[in-house]
Amino acid sequence: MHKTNTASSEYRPSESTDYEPSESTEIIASKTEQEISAEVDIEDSLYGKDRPRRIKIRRKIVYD
Amino acid sequence: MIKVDDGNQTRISQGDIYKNIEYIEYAHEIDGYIEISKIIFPLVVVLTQDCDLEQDFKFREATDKTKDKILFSVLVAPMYNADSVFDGTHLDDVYEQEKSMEPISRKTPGKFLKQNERCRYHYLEFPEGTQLAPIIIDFKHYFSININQLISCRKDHFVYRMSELYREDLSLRFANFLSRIGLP
Repeated sequence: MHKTNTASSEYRPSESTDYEPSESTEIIASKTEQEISAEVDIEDSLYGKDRPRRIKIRRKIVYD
Repeated sequence: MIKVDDGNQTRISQGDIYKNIEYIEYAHEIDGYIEISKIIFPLVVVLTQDCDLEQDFKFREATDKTKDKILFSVLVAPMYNADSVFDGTHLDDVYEQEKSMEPISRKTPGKFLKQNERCRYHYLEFPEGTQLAPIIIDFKHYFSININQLISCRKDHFVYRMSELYREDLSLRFANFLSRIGLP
């Protein structure tokens, strides 16, 4: 059961992690960053209310 | 209910709680692409002995010492929301499956767990004002983080440090879990 709590901004995982895809990056997990961020917004913002999540990144290797 | 403090301002310590810690599952190179899979844990607690962390810090800072006490990694355990653990849903976003873990009844098994009488789990309630919901540490899911990586993100990801008595209790229970003997 999640309750909506947007008043507190204490916990915003999407701001503090640096796994934003670049042009050459393709997230191949079933959930996009935007979807994950939306889920976080409707979750209780207390620390410890979030769940771990798996993210897969696929990036082309550029050789010099 | 445990007590927490602001921790050691200069170094990583046992009992430190960090948020948004990444565990790299693998990095594979396939056909000119690199594929990285990682799990992001909202909260973890440091289990590595504090004397080892202190020695690492001293030897890392000094220019006239060897690298004898430098650590490669820090041992941590994930902290899960207690309600999610009881419901068996705390790893649903990792396994992409509903109720991916065995639920734990809130009756007798849950009461035993809350009294820290199940060696796999460590239940913690935090003081009001900390904005930390009740959590359960699952010792079975411990993992290591590269210490340089944790040092570099320490300031941004630090949440609290468990106070002394409570981190000693955590350390002892983790040691007991690791050294348990599985009888037939």
